[in-house]
Amino acid sequence: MYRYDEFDHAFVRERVAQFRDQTERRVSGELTEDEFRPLRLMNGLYLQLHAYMLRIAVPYGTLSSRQMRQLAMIGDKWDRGYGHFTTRQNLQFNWPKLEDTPDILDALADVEMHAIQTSGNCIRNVTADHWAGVAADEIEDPRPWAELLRQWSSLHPEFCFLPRKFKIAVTAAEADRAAVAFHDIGLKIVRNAKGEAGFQVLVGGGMGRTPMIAKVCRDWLPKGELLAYIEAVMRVYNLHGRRDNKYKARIKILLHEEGDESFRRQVDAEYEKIKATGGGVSHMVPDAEIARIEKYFAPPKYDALPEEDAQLTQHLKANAKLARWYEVNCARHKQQGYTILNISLKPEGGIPGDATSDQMRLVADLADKFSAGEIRVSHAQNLVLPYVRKRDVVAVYHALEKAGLASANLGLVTDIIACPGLDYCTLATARSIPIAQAISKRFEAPARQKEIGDLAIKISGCINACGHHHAGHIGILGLDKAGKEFYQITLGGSADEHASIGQIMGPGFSGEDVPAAIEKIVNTYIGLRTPGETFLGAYRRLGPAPFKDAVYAQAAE
Amino acid sequence: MPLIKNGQYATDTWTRIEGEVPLPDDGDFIIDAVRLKDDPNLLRPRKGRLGVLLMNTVDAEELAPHLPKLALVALEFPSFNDGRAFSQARVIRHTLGFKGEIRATGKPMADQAGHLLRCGFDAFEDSPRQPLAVWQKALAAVPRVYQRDYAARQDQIRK
Repeated sequence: MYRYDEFDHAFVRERVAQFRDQTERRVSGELTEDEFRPLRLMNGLYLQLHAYMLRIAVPYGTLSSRQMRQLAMIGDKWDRGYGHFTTRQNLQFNWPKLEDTPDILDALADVEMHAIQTSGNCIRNVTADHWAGVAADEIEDPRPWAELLRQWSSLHPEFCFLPRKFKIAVTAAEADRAAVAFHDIGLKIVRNAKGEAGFQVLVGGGMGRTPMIAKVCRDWLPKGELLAYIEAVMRVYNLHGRRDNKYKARIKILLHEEGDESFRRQVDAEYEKIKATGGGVSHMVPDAEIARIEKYFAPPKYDALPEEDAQLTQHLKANAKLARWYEVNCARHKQQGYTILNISLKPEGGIPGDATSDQMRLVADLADKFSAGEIRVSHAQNLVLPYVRKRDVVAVYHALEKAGLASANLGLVTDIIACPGLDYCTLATARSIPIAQAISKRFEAPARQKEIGDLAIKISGCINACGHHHAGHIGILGLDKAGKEFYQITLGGSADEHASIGQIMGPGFSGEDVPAAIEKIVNTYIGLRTPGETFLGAYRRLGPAPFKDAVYAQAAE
Repeated sequence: MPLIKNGQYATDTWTRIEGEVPLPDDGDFIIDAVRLKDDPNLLRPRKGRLGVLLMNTVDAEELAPHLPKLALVALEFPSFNDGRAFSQARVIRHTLGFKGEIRATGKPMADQAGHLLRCGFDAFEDSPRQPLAVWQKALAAVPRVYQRDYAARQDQIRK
């Protein structure tokens, strides 16, 4: 994975020093909270309901074991012994003290991490396919480009005061695991007719109160032109994006109001100008620079192994629980004899995405022993050991099981994405976590989960949609109705390569009634599905009517 | 209003003329850029220098034909977080190659000074007044930069 050189180290230290000074000005009273707010937001520090929250960037979801141990240490020393992995592949600490944050940032800098631009109206942490580099279905590892984007966007002089936040995701695989269509810019490495790899550039996707699927802005862009082209997109957005209404300020609204064609023409015109006026600096990313970054993402030295490991096969035959976990949580690796081992942070009835410091250290140890020291964070709030030999799977499984990390539910009904909601967040209108927990409890029986199959439930505690409810096969949105929490259910959303936005099913529910409503929806699916048909497939075939009938007819009785 | 250039308070020789007030023959004046459209006489040879204030809703490239005759372009920050002027400055300095003063006016925040400088601004109106030390610190903070073609000290750009 990427390693900071002297330049990167110095850059992050300089930024920490700057923030330390700004924090001291706040603590001394030189700055009011109003004046400090924009400064802390540029460094991932939010003021939540009960305390500050510090959001730490995990660029493109890649962590080393050393970094994970440092996060565990920070959790123990300055927080409450746990952290929360987010849908932007980041990690949030919920209880830091303001005056400790510069020290936390220094501790992060020790392991090549930071909180730069994890909030504010700037380019946020760039996310990527969490199986990048190991997925069997990808063209190449997209992370060198994500790292290039991380560097380029860091304290970008022109694009730190945009109309609104700006999110970029990158993938190079057939199956979209990075939800690129729901990003301000989604980048997909694809091949053109000549077989050359380049970027398909999607613009204007997003969730929030106006969910939209991104439009293709460029079918194929030479890779070296990426930064210059994105600069053009950003400039058009910075100059023309709406600033009169924060709910209409994302680039998706600009595209929608201007029309895709007109927007594309403006970007192309700006791009031509950028190419024409380099001022002696080429608009192309220097080959040497991308080559330098690519070197760091070279895969570890793989062992030559048979595709199937005889011992593992025996264990799978003997231990049904292990076999089920392996089937659900381990994915096909591009290298023979290896597997992509996914660690669920969704224990049945637990808090989605939370990990204790002890669990973080265990995962770090396992990464060192069995996965080339590397860990990934997925946007679904789970962890990944990307380089596990099949012969080591059983050892990893047993260690995870002891730590309560062996839930066999990747992609299943209890693998719920949820934002922190009203338990932590000032923006929330309702709680998310208890709803996720109640649903998870209701469906916890392994046989039931297996029967249901692939199902993505996503819960947001407000219209900002941090829990991605629009993209949930079943989405749940928590709202406030006359001082009481109630929940709207959407059906048919999807964040994959056939992205779709969920449709509101009908009137909302109280929190207590949500699990029963979900159960009726699920039972309707099971009753009507054809052999092998997923929930999403069935919904797309059947439409909302049978689900509505089941939920509301019975509710009326 | 205090003006900051090169990290120090500087004397402001410029006077702002609002609306349709006639342009005197002598002295440095900043007029609304929109006036150039209808009144070419404003660009006549005078003893003083001419500057314009460009609204942040106007395409900076509209200034292109006039830039050779301008010594200053003022760009506005109605609030610190309205960042349109960053792009306008970038276009005027980099795309259009303007060599005169680009001044941040309105309510730029001292802590933004590094960003302003790198986009091509070289003068900052300090209103409401912020401590000079904050401007100076912000101008010097995080000198190492990743964006190769935005202004910076040559030895501190990621190659």
